[in-house]
Amino acid sequence: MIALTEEEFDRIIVELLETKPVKYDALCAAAEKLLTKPLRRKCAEVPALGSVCTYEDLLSETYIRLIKCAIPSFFLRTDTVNRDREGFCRWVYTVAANICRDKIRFSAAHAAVPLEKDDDEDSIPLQIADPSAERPFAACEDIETLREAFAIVLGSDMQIYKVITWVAQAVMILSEGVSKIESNDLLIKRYENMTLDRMWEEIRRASAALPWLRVRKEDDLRVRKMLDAPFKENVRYGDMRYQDFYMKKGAKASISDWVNRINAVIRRNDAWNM
Amino acid sequence: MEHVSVEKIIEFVSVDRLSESDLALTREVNAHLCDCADCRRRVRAAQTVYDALLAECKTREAAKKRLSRELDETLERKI
Ligand SMILES: [Zn+2]
Repeated sequence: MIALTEEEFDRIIVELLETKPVKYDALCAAAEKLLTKPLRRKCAEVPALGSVCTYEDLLSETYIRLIKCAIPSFFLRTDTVNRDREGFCRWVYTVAANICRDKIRFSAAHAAVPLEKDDDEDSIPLQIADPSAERPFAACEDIETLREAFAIVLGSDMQIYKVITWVAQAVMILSEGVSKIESNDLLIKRYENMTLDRMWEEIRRASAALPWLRVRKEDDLRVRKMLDAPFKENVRYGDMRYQDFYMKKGAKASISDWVNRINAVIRRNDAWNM
Repeated sequence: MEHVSVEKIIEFVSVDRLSESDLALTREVNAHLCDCADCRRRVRAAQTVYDALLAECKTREAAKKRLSRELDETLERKI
């Protein structure tokens, strides 16, 4: 993978965060350096892509995406400036890979003859193998499907800590733009000492950032009822701390396991999978 | 500090080319985002919704209209 020098990376930060008016020259130059070759190759190798656009088109779309998202989704996703140069390169590759994927899907959706299975997810990334760079909630998922997935999860009979885990992760990914892998760490950091009661309150509050997602009143009541259920004598589920539910294999493995189980429920409902 | 208006957020997340006026808008919004975590969160959320809407709607204009409606129904406009 081509990388950026420290100078190139620092210039992007200076231009974006410290220069008024904001400049995008270094950002676009970095994208050009990182992406020209892989996008050219991709266009040549994937007919579903090469037939609908040129690598220059893809590069321009990537510039625009980077200009809109570099500050809120990468450099200042948290309150401190993200100076992870390698992470930035991975992020740029991911942005471009997602644009390619959307193009391929669009071309597949509009093709008269069905395309070969070339538009399979696995074949799209620009040779990046970093799972943390994956965008777990593809922008292409339509809102109704997302709402449906939330309804299925909130209405499921799975244990409350699993339900809460899935919802917390989904809200985090959708509202804060973190990757699925990053969200595992964040979930632990943010919630492990909280009681489930408090955690649910926090999730409800965070979900307000997603205007299209309404946790219905009946779902909220249902969750609260599950929180009220006794975990053991004189102790409700809601009084237990999140970390009390971790299995022996550890926090991360527990969370992945719970999310996978919930996803299986969603898949069984034939709606959506994460 | 005056936050970015909902209208500007909608324009910002739906920029799909870089005309002079689009560039000016992105510069203005980005300058504010450097100092405002609230607006960064609002922009991220609006971008997620807009992208999903764009996949559903036929045109950018339709997606923008629906985004405006989605945001309208929340407390967004009171910020
Ligand atoms: Zn603001």
